[in-house]
Parts: sequence; C-alpha cells; structure tokens
Amino acid sequence: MPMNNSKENSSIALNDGDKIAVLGGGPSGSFFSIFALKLAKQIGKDIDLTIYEHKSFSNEGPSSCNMCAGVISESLVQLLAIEGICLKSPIVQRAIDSYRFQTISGDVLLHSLNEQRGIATVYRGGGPVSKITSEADENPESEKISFDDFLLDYAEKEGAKIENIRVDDVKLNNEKPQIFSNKSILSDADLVVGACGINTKTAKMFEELGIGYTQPSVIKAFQSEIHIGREKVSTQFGNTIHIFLINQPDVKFAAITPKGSYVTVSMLGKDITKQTVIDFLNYPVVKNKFPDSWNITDTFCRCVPKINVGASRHPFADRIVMIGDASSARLYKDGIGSAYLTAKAAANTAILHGVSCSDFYKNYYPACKKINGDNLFGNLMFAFTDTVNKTPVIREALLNILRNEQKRPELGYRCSTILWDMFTGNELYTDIFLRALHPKLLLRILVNIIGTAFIRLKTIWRY
Amino acid sequence: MKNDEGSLGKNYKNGSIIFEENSIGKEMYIILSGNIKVIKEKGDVETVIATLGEGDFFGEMSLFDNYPRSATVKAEGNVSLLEINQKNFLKKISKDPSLAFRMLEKMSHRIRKTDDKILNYIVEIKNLAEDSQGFV
Repeated sequence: MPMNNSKENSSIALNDGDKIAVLGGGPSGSFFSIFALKLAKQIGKDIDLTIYEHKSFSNEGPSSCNMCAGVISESLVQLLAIEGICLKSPIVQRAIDSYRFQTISGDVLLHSLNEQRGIATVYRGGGPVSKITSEADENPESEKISFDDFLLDYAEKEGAKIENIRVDDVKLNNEKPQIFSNKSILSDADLVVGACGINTKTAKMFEELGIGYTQPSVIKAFQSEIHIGREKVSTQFGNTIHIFLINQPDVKFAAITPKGSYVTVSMLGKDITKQTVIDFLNYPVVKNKFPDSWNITDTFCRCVPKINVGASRHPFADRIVMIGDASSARLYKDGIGSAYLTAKAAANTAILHGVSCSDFYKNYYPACKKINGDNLFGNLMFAFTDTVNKTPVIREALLNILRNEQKRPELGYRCSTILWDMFTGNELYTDIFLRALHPKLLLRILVNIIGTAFIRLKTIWRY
Repeated sequence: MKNDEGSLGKNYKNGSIIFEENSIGKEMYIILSGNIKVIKEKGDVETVIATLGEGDFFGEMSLFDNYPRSATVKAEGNVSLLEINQKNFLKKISKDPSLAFRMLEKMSHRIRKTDDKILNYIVEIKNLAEDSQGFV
C-alpha cells in the first residue's frame, strides 16, 4: 500500500503511547500540540508528542523570528481567551483599538465597535536587533517577549517535549514515517506534523517525499522595525495601526504597526527593497506621522518573509499532515489565525478520528478548503481596494461615507465595518464580500460617487 | 511594560461595578488579569459567592438563557477584562462547537462546587436542628 493512499483507505487510529513528531515550533506547531494534548487527556489517551524546533525565539533579530507583522486579530484574541490562552503584556507589545486609513486624498480613523483594545501586536522572536540599551533594560532578561516562545511554553506545560534539533529529512519506512537529523535517525513516528511554514527548507523536504504535496504559491513581503522610542510611539501612533493606500509604485499596501519602542513597517507588493521602504517613509503623508526631529536611519532590522497567496496541494497523506502556512493561510491577513484554524482541525482529526489519508480528507481538509475558497473572495475584495486606490472619484466618495459614518452613528457602520474586518482579518472575506453587496450600501456609494464627480466637474468648470 | 500599553480589553479600578444583579447584559467577560468578586444581595446583606481570577470567565449565563444578570460583579483591585458580545460568541460557537468544551468544563466545576456547598449547609442545618432538639 503506497504511503499517499487514496481517499478510500480505512482509518488509522492513534493508540496509547503512539508518537507524534511536530516539525516546527511556531504558532501552528504549538497550537496543534496544545489542542492534541488537551483533547487526548480529555478522552484518556496517552500520546507522546515532541516538537522539533531548532530556533531559539528568545534572541533578537530575523534569525530567531518567524517573520511576520505580528498582529493578532480581535477575533483570534477572543478565541484564544475562550480556549484559556490569555494574552497580556509583555507578550502583547501594544493593545490596538483603532485603524487609520491614509490615502493621498485624506485619512479616516476607525475605532473598534467593541470599544475595547482587542487587537494585539507582538514580536514573534526576541524583538528587533540593535535595541537601544536603555530601553532593552526595561524588560528584564528573564521576561520573555516572544509570542512564539509563549505558545511553545504553553505546549510544554500541556505535556509536549521540546527538542532543539533541526530535522533535515523525513523518510517513509514501510507504513511509518521516520525523521532524521544529520543523517541519523531521530525517531519513528505514528504521525508527522509539518508545521514548518514556507520560509524553510523543511517544506521542500515534504515535497520530495512523494506524497504529492506541493507548497502554496508565495509572494514576498518586506518587514522593517524602525526605532523611534517608546514615548514617541505612544504620542505619534498611540494604539492605532496605520494603513497606507497611497499609490506608491509597485506597492499594494503598506502598514505601520506600533510595538513597544518600535514601529513595524510592513509592505506588500512587487520587488520591494530597502529603498522602497525609505521612499515610503519619505512620502509627506508618512513622514508627517513621525516626530519632526526624527530622521530615517540607514540601518534597521528588516526581513523579507514569503507569504501565501495560494493553496498547497495534497497537504496530507497516511500519518502525515501539513498545517499553518505550509498548508493554507488567509490571503494577506491573519496568518496566525489560519495557523490556529488548521492546527485545531488537524489535532481534532488526529485524536478523535485517525491519521490516515482518508481521515484527514474527511475531517481536516474541509478546514483548508474553507480558507482556500474564502481567499477567492479576498482576491476580489483586494482587487476592489486597488481600484478604489487608483480612482480618485471613488476614493474620495468612500472617504466621505466613512467620515460620515464616524460622525453620525445613526447612519450605521456598514462601510466602516467592511473596511475594519478586511484589514484587521477579523471576519471571513466571504462574509465581508456579501455585506459589501448590500443594496443600501451600493446605493450610498453610487450617490456619493455622483456627488464627488459633480463637485470635481464644478471645480474644473470654474477654473 | 510601561503605561498599560500592552493591556488588552477594558480596565477597571478596584471597587468598580462591572455589572449589577438584575441588569440586562449581552456580554460575557474573560479575566486577563486581576480578580473580581461575584456578589449576591438579599435585603441589605451582601454575600460574596465567588472570587474569580485570571483566565476565568463570567457573565456567560445571560448569553445562553437571555435572563437578567444573576449577581453583581465588582473589581477586586485593578482588573483587565476581555468583553465578548453575545452575537460574536454564538457565531464562534456555531463555527467551532468544541469551543464550548472549556466553558462546559468550567461550568461543571462550578456546579460541583455549588453541590458541595449546598451539602455542607444541609449538614450544618441538620446538626443545628439536632442540637436544638437536644436542648429542648
């Protein structure tokens, strides 16, 4: 029987003492371990779970970081709290309650409708390199600030073993996978979980395994950590994430996320380089956000992570399952939320149903398909955002609607919540898309576009 | 962390009332840090029926039965609470019913504790009744 068996094969149950090897100690690996161990305990199953992670998340800089903007959506913060995983400082670098959308026609500030600081910004590793010494001292060394480390500790408390080893090969021996490090066998496993993300060689290893797995298609993002000091971050950016839709060539969108004494500049687009970031920071609408005395430094901590823009193929086989970014992730947003969803679906499948290809197909794959299907609507929504961004009349009309909604709550927050949910990653793109088709909203947009076009024509006619 | 900048949710100062008995509420709360007291009032007498801490939740009963709040909740020291409204909560549960496991676990735990308390009171009352009979 081949390892990548057809969907028709029977279930393979995990028994007491069976071994699970989780390759990768990022959020998806930790979430899988936490949920699998909790569930196993609840049903009285004794499993032996080891997380293999060669990185130490407590060091500074990209080599110890899983490289992302580090924003945890309001929805995920709440889900984690319900699960008993409560986020607080110093893991939470800044609690966010608002988003400012900046276009070249003006800006609008949207507040959370829940009137609470519900979004968390975190560092995935030990923070940016070249911390200013006096500020680095604010957090004692014993105090961990890495979100990935926090989850890994949580998994360990649930009973996961953590091995600081790089797994460099996975082979199939008869019907069980084996994992290797430095050409020597580390362990046989009853289930191997690929929680390795897409920025690593480990995912390539699974492609070469012959189970039909193909990594998702990716684009590169550019993350930079800019130091401006804790006080200035508070006065200039407060608890607000700034989204910039300013038509910079080759840039889809840019965001500035406040964290501790740094701001994270995230840029998404084609061939973004350090120079693109410097050009962005020099745009007047961006420079205005920074303190007058502040000048762009030549050196700042930066990384170029890959992000999913497609779905993986065959993310499971008998006794193998890929989760998180290596499987399916939401388009441009809420990568940690996708890690949570896929990890939980895979853990529930492995413990309650089984670890065969057929078990994963029936019980895990629907979660991936839901994310992949939702991304089609995400693509439509972001294509619409591009059009808005490039068409001054529509852009100004939408800004008017948003400002009116903020000034006059009796109008409702139909347009504001669409923008909020889209950029915070709070809701499924499908839900947002359907809400965007509401006749009342479409009519309001149409009336505002006609009004804005009329004002523009009047101005042109006058001069 | 300085200036509470990493403090999620809503912050309440010592003694603040989070909600009052018999008020209408459509939110549940999860304690991110600090403690709260659950208080029942009968006449002028206030009785603390529970003290809850980090990771505990409260206010969930009104979400399920749509009845007014069954007790008053006050902050004991400074407290950070994450508020989840009924619509969001029910949406989450309908998408992933396993989220209810932890709530059921906690609620079962509370029912067991209440059972123990009731049993203790019954035994105390019986003892008092027996003592008073002997006295007569």
